[in-house]
Amino acid sequence: MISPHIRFDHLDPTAWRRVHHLLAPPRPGAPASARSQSPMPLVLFIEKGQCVKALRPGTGRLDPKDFPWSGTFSLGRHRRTVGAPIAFAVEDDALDRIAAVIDRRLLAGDDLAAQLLEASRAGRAELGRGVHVDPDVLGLLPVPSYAALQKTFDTLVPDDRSIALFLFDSSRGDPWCSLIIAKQGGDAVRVTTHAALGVRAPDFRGGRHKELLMALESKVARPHAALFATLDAWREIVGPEPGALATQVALGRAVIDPAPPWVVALTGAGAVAGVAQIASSLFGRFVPQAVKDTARAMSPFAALGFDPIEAFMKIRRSF
Amino acid sequence: MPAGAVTLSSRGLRLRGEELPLVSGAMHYFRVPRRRWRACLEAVKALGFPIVETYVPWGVHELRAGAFDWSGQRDLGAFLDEAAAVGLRALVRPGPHINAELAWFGMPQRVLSDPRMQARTARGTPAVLVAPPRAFPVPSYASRVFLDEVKGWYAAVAEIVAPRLFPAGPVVALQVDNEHAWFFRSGAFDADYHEEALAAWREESGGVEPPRRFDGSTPAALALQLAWLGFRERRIAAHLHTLGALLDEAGLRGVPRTHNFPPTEPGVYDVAEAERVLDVAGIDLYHFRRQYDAVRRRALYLAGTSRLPYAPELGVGGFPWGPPFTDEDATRTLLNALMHGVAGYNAYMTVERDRWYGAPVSEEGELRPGPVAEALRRVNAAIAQSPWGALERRAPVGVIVPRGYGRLALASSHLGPIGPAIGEWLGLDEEATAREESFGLEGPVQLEQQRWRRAVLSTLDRAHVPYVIIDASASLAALQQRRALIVASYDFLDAGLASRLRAFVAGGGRLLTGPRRPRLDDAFAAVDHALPGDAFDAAALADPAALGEAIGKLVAAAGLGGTAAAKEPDVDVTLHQRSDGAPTFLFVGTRSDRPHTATVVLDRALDLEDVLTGERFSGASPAIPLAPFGVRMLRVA
Repeated sequence: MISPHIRFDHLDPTAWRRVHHLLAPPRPGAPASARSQSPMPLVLFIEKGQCVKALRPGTGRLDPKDFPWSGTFSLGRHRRTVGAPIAFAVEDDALDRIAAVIDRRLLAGDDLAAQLLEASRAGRAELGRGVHVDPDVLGLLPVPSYAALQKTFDTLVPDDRSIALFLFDSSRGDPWCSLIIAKQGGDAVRVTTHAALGVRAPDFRGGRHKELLMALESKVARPHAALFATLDAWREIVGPEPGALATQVALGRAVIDPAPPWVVALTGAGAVAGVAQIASSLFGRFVPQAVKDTARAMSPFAALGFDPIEAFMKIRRSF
Repeated sequence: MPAGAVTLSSRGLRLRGEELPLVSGAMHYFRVPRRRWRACLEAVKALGFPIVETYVPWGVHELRAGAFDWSGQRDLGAFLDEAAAVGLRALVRPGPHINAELAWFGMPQRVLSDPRMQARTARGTPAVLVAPPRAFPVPSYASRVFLDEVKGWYAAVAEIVAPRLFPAGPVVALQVDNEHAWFFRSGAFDADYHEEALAAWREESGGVEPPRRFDGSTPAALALQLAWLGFRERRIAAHLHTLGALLDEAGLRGVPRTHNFPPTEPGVYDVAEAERVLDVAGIDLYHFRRQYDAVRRRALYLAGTSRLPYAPELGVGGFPWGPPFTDEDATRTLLNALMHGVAGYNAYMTVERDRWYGAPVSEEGELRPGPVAEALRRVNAAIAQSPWGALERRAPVGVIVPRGYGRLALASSHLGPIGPAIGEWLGLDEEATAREESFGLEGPVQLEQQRWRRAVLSTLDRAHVPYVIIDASASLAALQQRRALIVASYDFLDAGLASRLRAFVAGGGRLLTGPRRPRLDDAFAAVDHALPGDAFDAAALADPAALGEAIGKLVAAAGLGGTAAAKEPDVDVTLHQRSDGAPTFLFVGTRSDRPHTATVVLDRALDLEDVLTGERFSGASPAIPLAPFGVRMLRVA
């Protein structure tokens, strides 16, 4: 899925930093206290049923006596006490066991996706035994097979095509940030940004995104799916509201072009879910099951056996 | 030290009388279209770099075993000739391991897939590195088969590079390997348990089986753990020595050899030991501006330990799967490192390439808009226009933490297979991860040593006493460059260090130790170390005023006094002077996350000019505005 020769190019430091923060953009209106709260996890090491070490990365050691251990339930309490977004407890030799499994299962040449799947499997095998997590985000995220992941990737992006995301801040003359991925032979072969396209594109609205698409085709690969959105629209899209993507497209704050069938399905499914939620449980139940089932069947994530966007939203809500 | 045409000074290279700062810009010829080499090299030179640095990737050049491609974009000889034509010298890094964000870290797949060459875990399985884009089993430098392969690679490199060594060509230095630290598998009991590594251990230990997990149940078990980690530290130097011998054999000699350790805290890797087998060992610096203290500690460690304090990779930008660095991160890290004694650096990367962002020169050879290019140009110009080779930051006090205490922290780490290099990325230090038990000692030394370091360094900082951090394995000659030493002492102490400390005092140096009197050696055998000098106890360590008094007494007895200091406790000032005492650069930096104006007290009025902004200050107590974690490099007019 990831070529050993994958190329990363035209990454401007500012724009690249923005890409890093894309999935967790600052929440507009979030109180300052929430923003200043340390995002670092709480980590406890447990031996013979007792907490023998407590720490927070970047902050350092905490007194283990402050974290008496009585199972996963106590982990949640300790997490809330220190205000950590997530807490881990590692019992006895769990890390060694996980490392041993990874060493045994990893093969030379496994790509990063395969490596992460193996590491996730090894970690999940210890969940509830040697490793405890609160909130249980690992439990929310099933670990698919590599083949299922590859099939999903192939559905999302055919070979010799690209997918792209362009975000715009109206106060700037260029995209605020962008991410372009090109695929060949089943593998992602290039990751780049609008800087590789060599065109100035101050806005995408009114059909002006076409210039970027043409450049994308000539400089990288024919686009299979591309999303153009304002920064505010993006914040809504990755926010908690289902159907936000369809809403933003309808409002003209986002454009999907080209839009392969899976994008249409995804947007439609989101809109259906959104309607169901907005209409509250009383009306939501009248959304025909058949409509929901059709949307699910058309999902590009069918091969995975779960909806990663839904899982992502659940994880976000957990924090 | 090399006996060739290029020799070392404490501040750079000497090329038959010509002084050259060890300041370079990194460019990967094999990743830049050949038609653009000239433009890129000219841009490197225009930024004021006297040296271009490049890796030479084994896996890129090797077509099959014994067959190499040096043509087209892979034509290393043509690249070096082009560099010479532009007026640049060259620092060449032929691996065998280079990383450089290449698949297989730049080594041929056929080598890595041979089980005879693979490093082993404590469980006997190949040590596989989780790495983008592909996982691979890391090689064992103990494997004779692997070293034979390296010999063949070096011979191929030598055909291109040997004729281009100075003075015949531009190559003025060679780096041996890259971040030689078990390929990030540096947990105490993670790797390398290759049979040839174990044979070396058994020979050294008298046939004892190596530990494969932590056991602090008895003094003997504890001693074995520490002996194992000491052995592993020495193996790093032994491997570098072996690689150096292979370079000799290939005819690549006569220029200084360097090495870079991964970004880690002082004492994790042993710069002093590495410099017994090569010329210069440094620590790579990739930091956010908020990591002011970490950069400072590492620079002070290099200043106190290395014969030429050097940042072999000073991150300008970063790799895409790492944290997102900014231009300002690079500039602040550079100024901070120079401020605290680093005398040479390699701007990695200077020319943009695949799998990198933030280099100041594009692949087209054009300067990227943004502040970092101008900052590098101005700093390099300031270095070139100064008597750089003759400058020193006078630091009469040295701080030492015995290596055994750090070994205990690593051995007892709860992270197990996750070693310090990965811990660094996770934001976890020794104190955060080490066990809390005392293991029969008077206290948990592995934790106490960290608190000691914090207390002593902050006391010195508050008192504005110029100091360096010295590796505990440093030679007596290195210790004797200081007038006073402050040494952490707990229950056990390496007998060799104790002997050097006694010799240091016998030679007129002042020594302050504490908080405990060591009564064991690092094999946990009873011994009277008979440490001379003054001592402070645990109560003083816990009381800033008492510790300040003990250190104040030492400073007064040694007759030390600073020539420049700030009135504010969280502002650092360093003065870089010529040997006749004439000040050349004044650096002012703050550990604070808030902007403020520092008042610097000098022993005479000076006219100062900010190297980056041109802003001017004058007088005997200039007020210097500082950004959060800001550093300013001021030229003395």
